[in-house]
Amino acid sequence: MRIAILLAFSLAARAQLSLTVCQANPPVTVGSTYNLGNVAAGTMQNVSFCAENAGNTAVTISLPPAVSGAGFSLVSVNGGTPYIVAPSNFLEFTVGFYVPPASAALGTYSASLVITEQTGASISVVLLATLVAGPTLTPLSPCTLGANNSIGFGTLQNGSLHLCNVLVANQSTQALTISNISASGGFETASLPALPLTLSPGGPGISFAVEITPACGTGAVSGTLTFAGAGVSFSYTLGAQGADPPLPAATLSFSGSAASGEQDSVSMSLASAAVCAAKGNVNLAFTPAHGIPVSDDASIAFLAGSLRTLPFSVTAGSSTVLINGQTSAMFQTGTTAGTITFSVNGTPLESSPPLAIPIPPAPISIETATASNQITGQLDVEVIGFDNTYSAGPMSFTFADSNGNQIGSVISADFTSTFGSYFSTQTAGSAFLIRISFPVTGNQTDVATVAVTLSNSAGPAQTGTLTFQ
Amino acid sequence: MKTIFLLTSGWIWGQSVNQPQMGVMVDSGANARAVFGVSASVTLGDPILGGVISSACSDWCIYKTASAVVVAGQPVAAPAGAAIFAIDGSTAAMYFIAVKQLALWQNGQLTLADVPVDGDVVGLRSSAGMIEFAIRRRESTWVVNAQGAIVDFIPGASGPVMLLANGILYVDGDDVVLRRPDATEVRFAAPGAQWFSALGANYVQIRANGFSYGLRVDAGHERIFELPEPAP
Repeated sequence: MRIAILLAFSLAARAQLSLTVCQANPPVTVGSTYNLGNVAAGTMQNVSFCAENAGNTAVTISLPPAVSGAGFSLVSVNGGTPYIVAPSNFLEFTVGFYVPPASAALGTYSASLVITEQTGASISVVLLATLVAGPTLTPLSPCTLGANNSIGFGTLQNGSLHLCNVLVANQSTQALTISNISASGGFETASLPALPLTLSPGGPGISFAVEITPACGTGAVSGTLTFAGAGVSFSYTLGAQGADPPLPAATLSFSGSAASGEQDSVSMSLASAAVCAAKGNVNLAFTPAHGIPVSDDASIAFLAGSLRTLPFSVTAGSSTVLINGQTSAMFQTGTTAGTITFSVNGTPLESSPPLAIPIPPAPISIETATASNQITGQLDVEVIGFDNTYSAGPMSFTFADSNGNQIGSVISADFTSTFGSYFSTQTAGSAFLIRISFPVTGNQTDVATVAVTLSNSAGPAQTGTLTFQ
Repeated sequence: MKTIFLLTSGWIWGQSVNQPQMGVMVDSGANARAVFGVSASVTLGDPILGGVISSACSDWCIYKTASAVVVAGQPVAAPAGAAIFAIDGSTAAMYFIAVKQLALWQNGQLTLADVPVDGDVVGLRSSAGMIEFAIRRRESTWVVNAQGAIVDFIPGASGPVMLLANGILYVDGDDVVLRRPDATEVRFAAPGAQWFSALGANYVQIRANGFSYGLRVDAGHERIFELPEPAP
């Protein structure tokens, strides 16, 4: 046994400070010696001390606490020089003991710890630690061995099992008995050999696994791997960074007729079940066809909320995606030719190709058409419809009597300018109501019917025969 | 006298193009909103009136709030609760469900009247001043006139009934049925349909399971579509 005792009990003035182990419960007052106990070779043992000022005046410490002795070191001091310790306050600092396995000479180590007040008074303590044989631990890829006995798992996908194979050997000169191996913090041990066991010096060692299945939503996670032996335990810090995995490839599906003036639905499915629950957005965008003189059509939207973005959600273990709480989302195709595109964002996905639905140009769609002779001296025709090409204008009118005989020739007119003026003011599609009045003299009830043809760039559309009433 | 037509393109007196308004719906927030566009492609206007319990529109609208009937923005005190409306030209008959009270709206005045028939009134029709009632008695639904004479029977009807000018709209299971005077039917799936209101001429708003549907009811053009809800 090697003991080095620094004789520091000089006849210096009595120190105002006293030394305790910080946050010890029950409180531990440090006397002339302090024993860190058994420390396994290759493991770091830290202890935090508090230099407490029980006096009525502040104490100034000009230099950091001095730690001198093999294996011991000053790890940290809470503050900067000069340290001024107010009455009823304290200075906290940490001393560590660490001996690398390769250079480990087992036995008792000692060091001196000296805290000197500005007045010259000082506290001197002999620190003791007994270095015992410890396991040499080697984690296999993808895990890594870090500083201060830490094992890093790296970034892990939440919801899945991850394991780290660990080799444990005894590189000391003494046999090492291990009676228990345990893990905490969500980590678990697996494939453990029968315990207790004894690792012979330089022997082949053992192997086992440390596992973790981070729960969905987990971020940084830490734990401890502990080997308990005869009167000593050896701990390793386990660390990982959890991250939810991306959703499996998503497919957007469309159900409907891909034409203007319709209500269709879009749904979303995953190629496989989601490991973790996730939320995101399904977005609808619209691009008018080439030559359409508007930039958008506000009537193209999801019916829920008249919105172009709806939230989606998927539960863990499911491949069914709910859009706004439903298995599909209804939307209006509007009254403008172009392309409606659905896309997904808001959460990582393995892939999510957008879904583009072309809405082709079409002849004018007629919702209602009526003819009225209720105003003396005129015949009125009213048509409600939409023109998804925004090119309406040419119209023709064929009047007939009650026997179906055509009256006069077909009347043609071009309302392109009228429609154009109207469309230029619209942001919610091409729906229109057009009223045309014709002057007539004589008995206007002799005019029984009219058939109207409306044309746009996609072709003509007929109202059918309208009866004046 | 020989009819002389001035039917040439040069003699077209006038033409105008405007945005079509289908009517007025009541949204899930009890706001009356104009519905613009055509079937299955509509947009909503800003709220016209809040706190609307019941409404009906043709070329004008009448609304029921908690304690008033409102026409053209002018409220008139009325019995509490929902109402069933039947617009008839510039007048409207109405039935206040909670108090089982009949009333007539005419020239800005509300005149109360007794209900001349027995049973629960579930629908109303008024044509040229003649009122007919859809009456539910012991789970059977009948159409009777103001004299109590049975005009029609609606087998299988449950829930609301709307007596249209050219048919009857009612609920049968998960379907909304549009039955014409010749007894032909068109059925529309609308599970949970619980309320009808006249959205506009030839359009009915159906409320069902938290959704609103528009139903075009003119013969030969029947079509159901979902009505959008405004952004929250």
